[in-house]
Amino acid sequence: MNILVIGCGKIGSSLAETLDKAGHDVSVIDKNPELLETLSADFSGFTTVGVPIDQEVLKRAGITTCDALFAVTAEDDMNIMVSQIARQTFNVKKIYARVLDIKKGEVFEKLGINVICPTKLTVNAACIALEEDSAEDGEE
Amino acid sequence: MKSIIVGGGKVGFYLAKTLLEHNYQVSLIEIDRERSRYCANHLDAEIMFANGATVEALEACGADKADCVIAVMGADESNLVCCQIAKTVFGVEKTIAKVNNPKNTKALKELGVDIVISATDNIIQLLEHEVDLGAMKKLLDFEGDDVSLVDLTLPKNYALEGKRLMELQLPDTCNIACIRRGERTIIPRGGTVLISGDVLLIVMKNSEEKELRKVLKIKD
Repeated sequence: MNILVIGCGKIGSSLAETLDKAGHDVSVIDKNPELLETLSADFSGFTTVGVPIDQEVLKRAGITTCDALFAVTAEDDMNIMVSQIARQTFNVKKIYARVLDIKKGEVFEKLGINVICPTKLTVNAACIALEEDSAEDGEE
Repeated sequence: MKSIIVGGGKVGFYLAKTLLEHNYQVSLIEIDRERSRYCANHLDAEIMFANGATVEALEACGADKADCVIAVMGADESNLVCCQIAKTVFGVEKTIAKVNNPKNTKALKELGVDIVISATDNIIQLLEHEVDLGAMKKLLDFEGDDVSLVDLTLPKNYALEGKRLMELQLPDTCNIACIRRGERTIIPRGGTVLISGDVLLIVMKNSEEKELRKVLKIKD
């Protein structure tokens, strides 16, 4: 698939490399060129420097032909805005946005954005880990 | 009128001041501690130190009772998110957002912000108006109706100088609402004459612009 990753921080770069290794055609956008340079040497995808809510930047990065888009910058609001532009203006079919703020994420989930909330995921994982460890303790 | 201003920078601060002078009830949300302290010391309004583009902050500020939310933060995307939360969660009737990058104006309008203000666009329009006589300057758009209020200055040595309005075949969908001639403002009737330098305020259907220009002999 053609996949557009917005943001090349810890999550963006890791996601881009993972998708690239899995055989997808990956394009990454970040406004900071230094972050794009942190991508591994065997990353075979495409990189674009620019502000992700600028439609010209999105077009240069291939949004018109992408099958999926991941908005994973460090800023919730940026991720939310890019996702909506991708849907409204470019009709991208699969869009996922990382939103740290739980309540904000729920609002935009209701508005039709696929929200990935690291906060909720971490809290859930932590509780499950505790339960599992406690269950093991119980069995001993 | 209860209004919430999100962003206590220069725009937000002076906006708050002005609204207070007009007897609005004003709350202001600012994310920077020092700045929010400054606002609290200089404004007779409720100042909240928080990130205004969140459900929690807007709720604490009484957004459910606000008549309008005005987002004037530094980041266009935050202004967008703030207005969307205000509308969809709290049902705020009027949402206003400032955009710094004029390219974002259309996107914010499409995503439901009621009024989008681009300082850059406004300044450019004023500059062009000063520099480019004879051109039509759009003042207002009546959303959804394809109708605008347009400002048109008749050039020097106007081709139709002295012609009466009733002699022109103006399209049905256009109306010359008033004419400013020097210090005078004229509400025109059929017998009103057009003179070089007149500034016409026209209500027109956008699709009729070409026809209007043809009838008024105004070049593109």
